Amino acid sequence: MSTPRKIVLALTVNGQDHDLLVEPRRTLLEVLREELGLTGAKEGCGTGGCGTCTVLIDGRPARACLTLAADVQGASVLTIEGLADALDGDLHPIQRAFVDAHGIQCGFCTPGMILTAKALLDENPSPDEAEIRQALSGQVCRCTGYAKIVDSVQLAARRLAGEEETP
Amino acid sequence: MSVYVGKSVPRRDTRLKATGEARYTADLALPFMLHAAVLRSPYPHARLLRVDTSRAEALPGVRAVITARDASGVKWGVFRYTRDQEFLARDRVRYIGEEIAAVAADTEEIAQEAVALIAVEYERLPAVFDPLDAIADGAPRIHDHAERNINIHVPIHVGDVDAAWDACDHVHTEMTRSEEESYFMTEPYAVLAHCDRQGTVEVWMPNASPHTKAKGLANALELPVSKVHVRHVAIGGAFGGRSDMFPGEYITALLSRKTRRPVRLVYTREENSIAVRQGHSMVVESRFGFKKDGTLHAVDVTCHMDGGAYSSTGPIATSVPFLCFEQTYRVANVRYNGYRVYTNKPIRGMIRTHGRAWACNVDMQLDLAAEALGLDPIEIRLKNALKTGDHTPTQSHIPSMASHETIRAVAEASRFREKWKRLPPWHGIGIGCVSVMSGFPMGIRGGSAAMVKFDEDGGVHLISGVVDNGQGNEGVVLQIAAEALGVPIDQIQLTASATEITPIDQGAYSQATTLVSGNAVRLACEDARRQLFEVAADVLEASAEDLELADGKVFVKGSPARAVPLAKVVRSGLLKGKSVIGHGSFGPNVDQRREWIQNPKGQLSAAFSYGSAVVEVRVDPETGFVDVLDVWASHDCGKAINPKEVEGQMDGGVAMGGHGGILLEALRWHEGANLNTNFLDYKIPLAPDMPPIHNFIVEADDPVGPFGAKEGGLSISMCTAQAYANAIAHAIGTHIREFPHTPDRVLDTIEAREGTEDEAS
Amino acid sequence: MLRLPPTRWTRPPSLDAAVAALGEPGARALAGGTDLVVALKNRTGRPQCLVSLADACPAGIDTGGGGWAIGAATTLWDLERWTAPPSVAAIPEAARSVAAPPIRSRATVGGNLCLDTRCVFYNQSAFWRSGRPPCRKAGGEVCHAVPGGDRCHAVFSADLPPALAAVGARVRVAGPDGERRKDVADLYTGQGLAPLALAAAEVVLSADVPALSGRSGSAFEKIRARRGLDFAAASAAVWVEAGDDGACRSARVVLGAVDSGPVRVARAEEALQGSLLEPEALETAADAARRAARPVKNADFTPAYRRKVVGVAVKRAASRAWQRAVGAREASS
Repeated sequence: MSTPRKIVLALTVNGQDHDLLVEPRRTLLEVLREELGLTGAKEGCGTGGCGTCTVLIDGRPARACLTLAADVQGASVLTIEGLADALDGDLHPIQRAFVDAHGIQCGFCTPGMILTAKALLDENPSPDEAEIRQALSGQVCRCTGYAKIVDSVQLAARRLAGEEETP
Repeated sequence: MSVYVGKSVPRRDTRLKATGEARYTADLALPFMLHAAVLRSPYPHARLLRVDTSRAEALPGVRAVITARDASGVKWGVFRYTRDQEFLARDRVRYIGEEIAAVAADTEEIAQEAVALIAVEYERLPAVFDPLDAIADGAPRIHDHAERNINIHVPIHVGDVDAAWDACDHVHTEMTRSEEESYFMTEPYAVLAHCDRQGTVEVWMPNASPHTKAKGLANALELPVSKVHVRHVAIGGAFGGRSDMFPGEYITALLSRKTRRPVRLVYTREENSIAVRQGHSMVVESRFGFKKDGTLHAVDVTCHMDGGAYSSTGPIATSVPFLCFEQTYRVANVRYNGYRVYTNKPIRGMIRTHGRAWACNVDMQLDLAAEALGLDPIEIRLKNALKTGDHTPTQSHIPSMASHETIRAVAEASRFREKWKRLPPWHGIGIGCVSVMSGFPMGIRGGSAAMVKFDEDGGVHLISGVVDNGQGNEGVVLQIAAEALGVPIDQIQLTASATEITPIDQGAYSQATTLVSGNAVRLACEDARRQLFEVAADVLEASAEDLELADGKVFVKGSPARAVPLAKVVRSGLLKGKSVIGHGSFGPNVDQRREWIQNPKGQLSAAFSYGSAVVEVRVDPETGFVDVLDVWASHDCGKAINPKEVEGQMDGGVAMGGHGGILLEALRWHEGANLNTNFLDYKIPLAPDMPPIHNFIVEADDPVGPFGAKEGGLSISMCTAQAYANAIAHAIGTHIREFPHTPDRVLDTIEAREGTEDEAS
Repeated sequence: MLRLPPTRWTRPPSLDAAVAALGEPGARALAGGTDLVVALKNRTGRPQCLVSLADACPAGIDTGGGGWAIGAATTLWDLERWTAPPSVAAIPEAARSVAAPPIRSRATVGGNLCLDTRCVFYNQSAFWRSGRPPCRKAGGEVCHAVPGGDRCHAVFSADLPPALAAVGARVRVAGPDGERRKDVADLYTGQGLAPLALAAAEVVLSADVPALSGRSGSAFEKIRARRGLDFAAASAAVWVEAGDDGACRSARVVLGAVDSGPVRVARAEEALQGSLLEPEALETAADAARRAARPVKNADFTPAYRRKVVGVAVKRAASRAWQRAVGAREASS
């Protein structure tokens, strides 16, 4: 079989437009990590089971390892690198809450966890604990037992709602 | 009054992890870097008749192919007497996944394609996959040196067990079995190595002891240790599964040496599951004898562990489940025969809840004895628990141990005694207790050292070999340093786990970091303060003993106006040729003559922590599913340097040891092939699975630990496993002898019990 | 990194173009990709061209025509948010039970309907499979799950098909010969090797759900190891309708994950019909389901266990469906 032709891919990542020439078999994870140098999304398994590659595609959490880059042509992708305000360097309130509430240990699941939490809070700004746990049900964490991750999401929700000050 | 110790300071590294800035090994790239892939044996046991790499070498883009012919032949094993593994198989493969050859190429895809072009001729050999089968007559022999495939035998006998049974009023024998558990740290193993023309090797990989890795790699590459630089990198979890040497780093370094280019090897999840380490499966036979009043009088345990194809940490792995028992309960007569057996399965190592069949067997025995003797589970544990000042059977003195306090904390919070035998049908409550050591004798690499130096502007550099796998070790030493120096934590820069700079450290296993590395840091800071005060004493015309450091100033105690800024002290020291550099070195007071097999007695560890947990469950009698209603966990970790981080360790322990370990996790097999190597098929608990966890930190300040600190977390992983199993037994009216207690096993046990009752009625 | 084999890719702008593209040799339809991409990485599938159906199939739930047409490109993420009436509540319930949110955001109704059968000996890496003779599904002649077995025993573990079958949905299928409609149950061959009764180049366009009696309810019950991510070890979807006399007038019971296709259990339906779904009737239905199930050693838990709990799933789904039916009747009266 002849080598498949590369395709031109127009992709918006973290608000920046990219025109890329890639093989059609490339996953979004390969493009993010290898073409764009955005290594915040990890490959924990490559088969959809762990959630460490989770990014937001048009606001919804998705497995970058199972998504063909060709299939997100024209979409807007948000990775962990794009969450904080690049200009003032401050952490996004959800990132800050994960730091303050000790929701991070080894950190390998953290980018996917935080982005999944963002999608949840965008849709449902005051989720109860069961809703948080359900929203995170595809994000595997081996370190924390999820307790302080749930605390972190709850803290972020309160801060985003203005119910609690960020120190 | 402490400023940092005992405070839940947010960890500095987590800012990098929250933003994606933290770099793990697979995130790193060097200019001109090549990519590696490994050819692994698809067969559990075979002779290698021919390995032909010519087609792989001819593939465009391939820069090097290596096999055992390129390797030094130095064998790895943690001890001199356990060196049985070559990093590239020479003439025989002993498990599915064993390394045979490796390729470095321009891209990872070319490397993988080249691996597929290596032609190997195998002569299949009979294989054995169960430790009891492996010791039976006629079993295939896996190593020529190991009769009956016995890799390690740990024999321990204290008192006179055979004579002790007569003095017992209740004697009972139990057999338990557990399948293998697996680490499933979220980061798959990866290595980046660069051998340059100066003959030095720099290498990055997730590890639990950079200095151990540097020494092992230096041995295998036949280089001095000074030529091997293991670098700092973010690490995505360990749980015991990053502790010793793996072929990955040797192979990557060898490929780099051959190509003179940086080489990166990133394992797939499957490779991480089968070709790094797994937990041991175990068969545990125990005989426990108690006196009428509940005193534990005699214990005899025989354990067969499936060690897989090579030794790894064998003698330690074979001993630790026994040690955790003998540190927990007092017993005058005890015998242990631990056998680690070779099989044609992947290599087994230490894991966070090492020995669930062992630990849960002990608690099963205690509950059954309590029942027979008319005691309750709390009483029998309080009666037998070791405590501060006691000695273990193998002669370790226990400097601090709040065993009774942790037991009472969870018993009271859970209202255990009100609930015991009074819960509604299919509800159950159970307790488990365990003590874990803070480090054990590790010879020349059993201690830690640290340095503290000052910048001319008063800033501080702390240099320590400590490694952080995610548990927060870097934060711990920073908090200790800030406290010991009297300098704001934000002004301290940490350089850690970079072997060309950092002094020796024992590594992040056996729970030694806080105690051993923490003490080295504390001593370095105290030394630096002493030097600072000597300089400042001249400036302030005061006596060094009268000085204090706070708020960036050195001042005379009681006269804060007589002060000089820290930066000025440092600068005046520099003018006098007195650069302030503090040194600290700490070795735990353990008996270095103690040896795992030849001499298993003497002081094992400088400190012993304790954990107790109570778990309440509701079992679904139709499906066997266990709904965990609450977990209460109580931990004597000594002083909690960072309480929220200790809680994080406890929460994680409940998830891995208790919920995963007892309800979900087991490796499954087909003729030596691991069927569940990925996150979908190996069931680690998810967020909605986890119960509410109520943590209680009991601080029995340790006389040796820095600021009184010992170990955080491991005790909880083990004792919740024991409590989960006992709670299920209470709910269904009988113990389950096989671990984990998956729903199918729970349901089978319920039905078998109902069948027995039907027959009886 | 796990990578896909070289392949071409096309995203036809219309259904006709998609059908034409799928007619080419080596073409394979790609929906959300959440299962297919794994298969490609494992090299259990090696298509020459992936045909993305994103622009060829409708997305969303169309309420015209007295029922609901659920477009094949509708994501499970959207489907689980559908406020369905009690009669078809099993559908969003089943959608919600698939994998996890970041997979449901991409996975589609069409993809779930066309999910390949699975087996723990087949859904493994190329390296894993290289150590033993290929199984039937991989082109060989043995079965590792059932040694000596004469067919492929791979299990059908999709969650939507039992739910859709229980509520009597039909699928609209388009191919080179035009469009046709068939019952959901008829979409499946029951064969592990080739589970879909689709002709070459045919694609599923929508699942058409009929408007059902206001006195009916449905539910989906899934037994799985964890509260997320996992495929079913056994599942059941039940639809029941209450009659004027207050008893169950009609019922449909469909099992998932206990055979190579969804299994409709007439004897379980008979046990429920005419009953008040009292414990005895539920137990009879459960026993019928257990007899109809054919689990083998190729998924989570033992076959004996899956057989037992598929009965429990039937009882629980039936009870919940009945509560919905009765509740719906009370609400409407």
